Amino acid sequence: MARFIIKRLSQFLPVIIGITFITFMLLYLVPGDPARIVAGRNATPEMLKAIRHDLGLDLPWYQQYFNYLWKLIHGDFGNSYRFRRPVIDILLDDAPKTARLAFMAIVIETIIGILAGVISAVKKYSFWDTLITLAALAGTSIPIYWLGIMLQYFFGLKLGLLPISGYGGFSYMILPSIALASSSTALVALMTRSSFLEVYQQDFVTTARAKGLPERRVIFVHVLRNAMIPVITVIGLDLASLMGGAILTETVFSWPGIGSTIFQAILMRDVPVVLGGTLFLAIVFVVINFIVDIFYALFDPRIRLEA
Amino acid sequence: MWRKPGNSISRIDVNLKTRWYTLTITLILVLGLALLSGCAKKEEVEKPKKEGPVKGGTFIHPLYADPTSLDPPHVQESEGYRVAVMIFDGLVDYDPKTLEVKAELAEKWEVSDDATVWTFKIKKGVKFHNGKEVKAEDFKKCWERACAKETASEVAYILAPIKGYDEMQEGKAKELSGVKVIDDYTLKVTLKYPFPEFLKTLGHPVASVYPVEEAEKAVKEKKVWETPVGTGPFKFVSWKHKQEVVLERNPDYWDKEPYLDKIRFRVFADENTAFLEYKAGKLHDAMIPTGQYKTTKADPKLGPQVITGPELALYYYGFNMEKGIFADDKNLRLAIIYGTNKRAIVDTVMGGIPAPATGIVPRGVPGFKPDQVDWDYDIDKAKDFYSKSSKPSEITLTYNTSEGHQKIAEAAQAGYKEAGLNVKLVNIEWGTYLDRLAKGEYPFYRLGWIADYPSMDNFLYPLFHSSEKGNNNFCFYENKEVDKLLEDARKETNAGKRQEIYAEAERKILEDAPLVPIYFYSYARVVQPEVKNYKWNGMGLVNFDEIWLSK
Repeated sequence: MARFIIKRLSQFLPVIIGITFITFMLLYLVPGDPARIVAGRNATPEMLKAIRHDLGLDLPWYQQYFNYLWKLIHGDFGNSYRFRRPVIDILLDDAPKTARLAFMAIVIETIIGILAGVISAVKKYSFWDTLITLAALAGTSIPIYWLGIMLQYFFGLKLGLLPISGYGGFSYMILPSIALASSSTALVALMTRSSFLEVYQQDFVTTARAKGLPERRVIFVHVLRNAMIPVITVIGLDLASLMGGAILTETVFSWPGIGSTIFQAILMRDVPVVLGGTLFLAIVFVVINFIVDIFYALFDPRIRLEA
Repeated sequence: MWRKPGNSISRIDVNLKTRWYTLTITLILVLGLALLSGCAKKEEVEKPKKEGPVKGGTFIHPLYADPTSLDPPHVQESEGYRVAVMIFDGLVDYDPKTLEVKAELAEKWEVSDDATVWTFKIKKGVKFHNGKEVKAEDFKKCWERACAKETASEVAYILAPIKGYDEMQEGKAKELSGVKVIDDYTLKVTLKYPFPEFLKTLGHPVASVYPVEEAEKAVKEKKVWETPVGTGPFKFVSWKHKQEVVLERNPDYWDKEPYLDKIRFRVFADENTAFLEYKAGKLHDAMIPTGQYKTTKADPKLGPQVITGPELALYYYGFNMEKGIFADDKNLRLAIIYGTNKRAIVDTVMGGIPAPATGIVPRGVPGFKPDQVDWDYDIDKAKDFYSKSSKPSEITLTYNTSEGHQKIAEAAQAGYKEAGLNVKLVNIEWGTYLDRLAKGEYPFYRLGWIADYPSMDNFLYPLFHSSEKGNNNFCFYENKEVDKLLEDARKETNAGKRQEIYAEAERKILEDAPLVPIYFYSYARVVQPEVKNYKWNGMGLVNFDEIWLSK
């Protein structure tokens, strides 16, 4: 286990450096002058020069890149070209908000998804199975944007039960997290169902029953635990991508998360924000994958964490 | 192998339990929602219940993006502008209705006959929100901070007419040589060239006054100044990025105290969401989203709440006059001009909100001349001019990537097709677009121009003077006669005569057909009935300092 952790951590650094390099080069090679975007259309040539100098854009690319890395080592992510704020402040502002929403969505998709999947598998070909499968189909095919607007319209405007948009306490999280979780919940339910049915037919399940174990114990301890591996993968990857911010959900619900920040930064060629944001997401992905691997071992003792 | 789960007795048992679970969960959910709805309702806009002007209440106004900055040298877009003008004052301001210049912190001013030397007397006893009195020296320091190379201001160009601006921008000077403090309340400004419209440029936030030491300290410590202090009718309270900016009434305001207690500027990422919030009574005003104007106007409840009017902005398609297929082919340019179905664009894409353009300077700008050109959609004329042109087999229209621009371009393309013109559409992302536009790489392209200040000069000089080629003059247009007229206008101190010269320059430019003016922008908003004395002007500004809430 310790060797496993050390090995994974040693892979971490090259991944991060590689990501900064690729992102930096992509942004550098794409035509377009960030100073122009910062200065806007009305900029005079002197202003452009002043802004380019201010942002360090008048240096050769390798110097710009190494300056960036050097600052990064010292914990300085640079300042946004557009907002002039330190990138770290922007990320620290946005990331917890995205995390709240992502966490809520994961809770919804895990509880409802797995529960629905199990019901659907246990009651195979019943009314409930058909209903759940149909709902799952709808969940995966309804666009988040549309679902978001419908939720806002009915629960916010017509019934006046929940806030339409904005950032705030628990009540503000309900509608956006439902919209965000909709397609993943469906996926988790379908995944659980098929995985569950596969495990359900295996010999050890028959053995468990033969030993006289109650059905609930057979389902939740023996079958479900073994059926969880693919489901954990889906949920883990989903958490990682949700941490990247759900641009559509954030836009519709005016949720001030990281997704819309990075998206806007890409459009406005705000290089430090894009680099910082990408780096942040890379770290999130690596860490979550790492946690998912540990979870595999917890759920299935046959999997060993080896270096 | 399948085996039926459990026996019949335990199944009934499970079913009963399931029902209890379902019932309990449903109850919890219903109770939770009821509690939450109580919380949500508290958020509704406050509605004082008296007739006539009444003090109090919080005005909740939507912004459609987080302001990039509230530090005057970096206030560059309309959202930040709208907030900043409530916190800061300058020497002059614009009349909310006519957009003519009116005095603000300037008591009076004098101008030399050639409009190069301006002397301002500043009001005595005006205090910043931090209690310090405003002196002439403060203006000088603020303007110098804006023009300094280190500040790298995005809007310093507004102050470019002042003598010493270039030296400051190049980092060769620490002071603006053109700005002299005569005494505590007298400021003398010398310009590089005669410029009677100078006064108008001073209404921009970049020329406003604030305790410069506070800004410098904040920038030094935190890179940005996010706790602005000015002399305006409202004081800064808080700014939660991408959520809201809150201002409160300045009880020591030097002019008439505002009625509103507070203004909450709520930030939205989507105009449709803001519109829903308005309908739910959570906003006092909102923009009507594109495409919803007609239905909103026809709605019995919302219809009477709609207000519309001109905005000082032009949407146009430009030709490159220096290189490419249009450069020496006026017939081809005219073929495109007559083949552009402005009316269809305005009606079908823009929902009938803006007005088809009749020139370069939009209505609402003082001195505006209607019907400078009569370039209505005319298939026959388009075909005729095309037959006389070099007849390229394909023409490319380039625009920056955006759903709105695409819809307009597609509507224009349909019109061109009817007129027998084969126009291909290419969209390019904004950063790259602007860069290549400045290099003159697009023969036929889209752009818009929004007024920095309400003046004809602002629409003609930057866009068509030869010295601005590749900077703002993306048509790469050059006409000695037009250059001279624009320069002469800048020297003319009589406003009426000046406007005549600008109008003549505008006519001359249009004769050369370097652009297709498509539409003049308009605003279309809804305002709640309890909001009184609300004015939205052509610069996209609201008179929050004069509004009151009643019911």
